[in-house]
Amino acid sequence: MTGRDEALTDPVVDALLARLGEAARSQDPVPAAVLANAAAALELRDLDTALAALVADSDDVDEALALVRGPQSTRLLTFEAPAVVVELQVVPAGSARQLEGHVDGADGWELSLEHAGGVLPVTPDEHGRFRVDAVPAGRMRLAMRDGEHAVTTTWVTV
Amino acid sequence: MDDLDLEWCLVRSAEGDQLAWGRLITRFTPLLWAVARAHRLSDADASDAVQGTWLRLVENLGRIREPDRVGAWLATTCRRECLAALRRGSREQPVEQDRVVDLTGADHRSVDADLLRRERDARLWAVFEGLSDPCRRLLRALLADPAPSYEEVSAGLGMPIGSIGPTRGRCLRHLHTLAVEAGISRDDLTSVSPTELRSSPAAGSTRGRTS
Repeated sequence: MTGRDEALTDPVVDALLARLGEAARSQDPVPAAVLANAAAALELRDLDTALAALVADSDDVDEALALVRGPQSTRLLTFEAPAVVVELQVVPAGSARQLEGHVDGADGWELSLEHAGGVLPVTPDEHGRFRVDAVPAGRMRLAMRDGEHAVTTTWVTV
Repeated sequence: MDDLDLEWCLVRSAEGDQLAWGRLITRFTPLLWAVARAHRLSDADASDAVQGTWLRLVENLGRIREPDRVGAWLATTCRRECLAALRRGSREQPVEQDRVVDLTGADHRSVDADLLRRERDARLWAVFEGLSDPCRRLLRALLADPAPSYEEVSAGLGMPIGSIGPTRGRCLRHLHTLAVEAGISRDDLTSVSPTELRSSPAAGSTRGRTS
């Protein structure tokens, strides 16, 4: 495919890239909302909150499989903070998600599910198991706190 | 590359300094947008991938070990967000790639000149969109403004640094051939319009390429 391409000098090639950059600015600019949302992201920072990192995601393991089966199957997520482990099972239900989960190390803590549109209460049983129906698809995280501690999972898009 | 003190920005951002955070946003959002577009994400998915990347940095403020390389860290993170988005597939109906052409934003002084310029840009962009996938992908990432480092491009595309230079040259030469075949004049392919440089908000301001 390159055989018939002209032998252009480097300055000409550089000038073409500059010209293409000009076209990119008018044809595919960064939307203003993207910049505004990014600026607002800093407000979501909680200084006193520990992060429970995502340590396992069935989507990552089964990448090839996920492509085959599509977005409609169950996804398993595991998050870990120093003394807290969260396991989440995500089942798609139309444009919503049904979550079943288990929290270890946060007995008696207050749990809530934060998503792009708001916050849902989470009520675990005595074994730390919980279920939340009708979570809007999109970005979410689980927040856990008691009088002394606060832990949130990292954001995940489900 | 530029004189932005990245370590200072990260430290101050971790303290909640919105101004320092804003400088990071201004510096790197064009890179992240370009990486998302290089992955052919729709407007909605690209916006989501960029926002997910910034949220990841918020979570990790104070944990970035090499502040000078935060651009590469962001590009890598954005690439992961893009791959996850591609894996999930479009959650809703396929979103058409609607280009936001904001003609209302062009002021009245020279509507004709602006229209001509846009038309000229659109013709070149159409040729660009017709490039082979590897070429389109690399060039789209390189088009971020301010210009990204090869390390950032490599991180954002998962591509070896050593192959960026040669591929860039080969793809631009091929683009030139295709554009000439499409009837675009050689002059048009290498002359950046001086008025565009002055009037475009993206090209002016504080984020010049002071290399």
